Amino acid sequence: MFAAVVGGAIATALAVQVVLLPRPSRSDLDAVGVERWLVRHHVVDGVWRAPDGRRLTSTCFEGWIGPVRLVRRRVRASLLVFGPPQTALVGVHGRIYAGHARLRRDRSAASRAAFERAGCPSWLGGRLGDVLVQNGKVSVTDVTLGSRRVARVVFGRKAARTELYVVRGAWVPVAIRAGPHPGPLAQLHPGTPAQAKRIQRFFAPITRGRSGQ
Amino acid sequence: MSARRPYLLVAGWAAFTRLVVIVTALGMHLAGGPHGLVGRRTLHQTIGVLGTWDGAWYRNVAQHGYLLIPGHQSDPAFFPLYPILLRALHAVGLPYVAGGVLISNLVFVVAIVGFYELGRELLPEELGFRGALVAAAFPAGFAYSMLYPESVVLAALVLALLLALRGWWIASAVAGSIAALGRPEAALFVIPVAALVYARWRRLPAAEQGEALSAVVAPAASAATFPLYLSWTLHNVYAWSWAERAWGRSFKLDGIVRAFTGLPSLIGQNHWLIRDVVFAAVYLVLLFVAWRVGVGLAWVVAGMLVVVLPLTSGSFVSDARFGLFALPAYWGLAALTRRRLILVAVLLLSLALLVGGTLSIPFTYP
Repeated sequence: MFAAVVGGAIATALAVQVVLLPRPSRSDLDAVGVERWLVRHHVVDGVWRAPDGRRLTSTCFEGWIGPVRLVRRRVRASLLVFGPPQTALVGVHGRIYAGHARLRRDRSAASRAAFERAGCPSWLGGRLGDVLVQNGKVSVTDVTLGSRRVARVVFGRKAARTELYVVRGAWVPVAIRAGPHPGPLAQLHPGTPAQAKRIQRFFAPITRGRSGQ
Repeated sequence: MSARRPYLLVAGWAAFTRLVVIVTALGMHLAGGPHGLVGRRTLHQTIGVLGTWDGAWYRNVAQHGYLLIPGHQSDPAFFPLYPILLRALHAVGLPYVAGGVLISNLVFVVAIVGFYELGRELLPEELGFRGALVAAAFPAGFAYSMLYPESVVLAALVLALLLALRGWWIASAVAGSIAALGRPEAALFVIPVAALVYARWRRLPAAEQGEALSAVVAPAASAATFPLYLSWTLHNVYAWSWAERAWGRSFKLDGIVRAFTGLPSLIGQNHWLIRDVVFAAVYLVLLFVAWRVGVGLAWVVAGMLVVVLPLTSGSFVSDARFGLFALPAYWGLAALTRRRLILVAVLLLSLALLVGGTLSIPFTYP
């Protein structure tokens, strides 16, 4: 009797959940895979062409900064260097600061787009995660990019629409096309620990938490 | 006093306390405030304030199912019974918030009547009666009226314990399994059931021993099906614990120490935490009183674990609400209100605090 009652309880409880609760869509589950990659990786390299034809490169590293002027606590931040000309940006919880030693607030849409185009993992992960939490629309479709079969992850509304191209299964980002005006396709690839160290050294005045700048 | 009168009194009082909470919520809607952190849109809905905080997550699960979102707070932290109920109510045409608040409040009245009956089984009738009255008006109990599973779990839990006391083991196993699908701490009350089975073991016929054991094991087994379900739907058997971690709840033995050492800085960030600390202390004192007036040790231990185990996550956050399931604490409070005047004073104070608690919903989660 014991086995029958306990087995029945387990079977019924499982069956009720399976039958009565909705399941997430395949796109949502794929998007979670992408989100997991973005949460777990800290360095991404990018290459894209500016409208005037210049070749731009970027490296984005997710590290810690502060306490410094304008950022009073030690917080996670996206540290981005791109150029030429060499430009340094810091993203903290959706706020953007320009500079690598003395920060100043930057509210330009171009700087905002730069974080996405550079494939900053936590920046992109934050946006994709917010869309998933709010049950926003995320579509994941298989497409051909160059000669590669990849998955295209589309999320965000018109003005902030992002197309992220990832390797299906491994969910490694390979390219991105980001708003506000979807321009060039940026090629992405995971960065190396050496690049992470280089970026950390570059941002040393703020990553070491010096104050009184 | 006729045999039915105490039941009607308890049911009427429980219904009145729910009316107090709902009228307060309605008043907030009509006054348009205080809107605190929940925003004016929530108060724009008639009883919107009762559907906030975790209620929004339960509604989300009912509408869309579970999704574990790495690096974000996500819904696999919420057990499935209540979303299943919300979905069922929605299927018959009731909006999620209205249906949920309706069922929470109706079931609460049944739960309190059941709690009175449970008290009568274990303690002198007077103590059981007063226990039901103070439980119905308990200040942290405004959460029973919200879009939270608390009242449904309380009802299932009380029923499971009552059935076990009466030796209806299989029915107790079923009710206990339902409670454990609503909130994991419901499974802690297998401790008094196990003590009961142990005490009666030699007198039980052999055929009944298996049934009695099933009443002890089935709730935990039922709770364990939730990670299994998440493993099937999200391909991640750890989805529940990972989601709990994102909510700041990773359970470690040294968490209790951290809950105390981190208290000053946490209170600095969130003054409402004082409320949880005070309630945790009150629960523990009342559990001690309950033990002194003759409530079984197994019951008191289960109640104590309900209060103390959440602290292993390193924080007192929401312990006022978690402690609502420390059932013997209500008997402890009942023991302190033997004099009619004190009972009336406690009930009036409880009602005032119940209103205050409801008014606090926009500012902090229960």
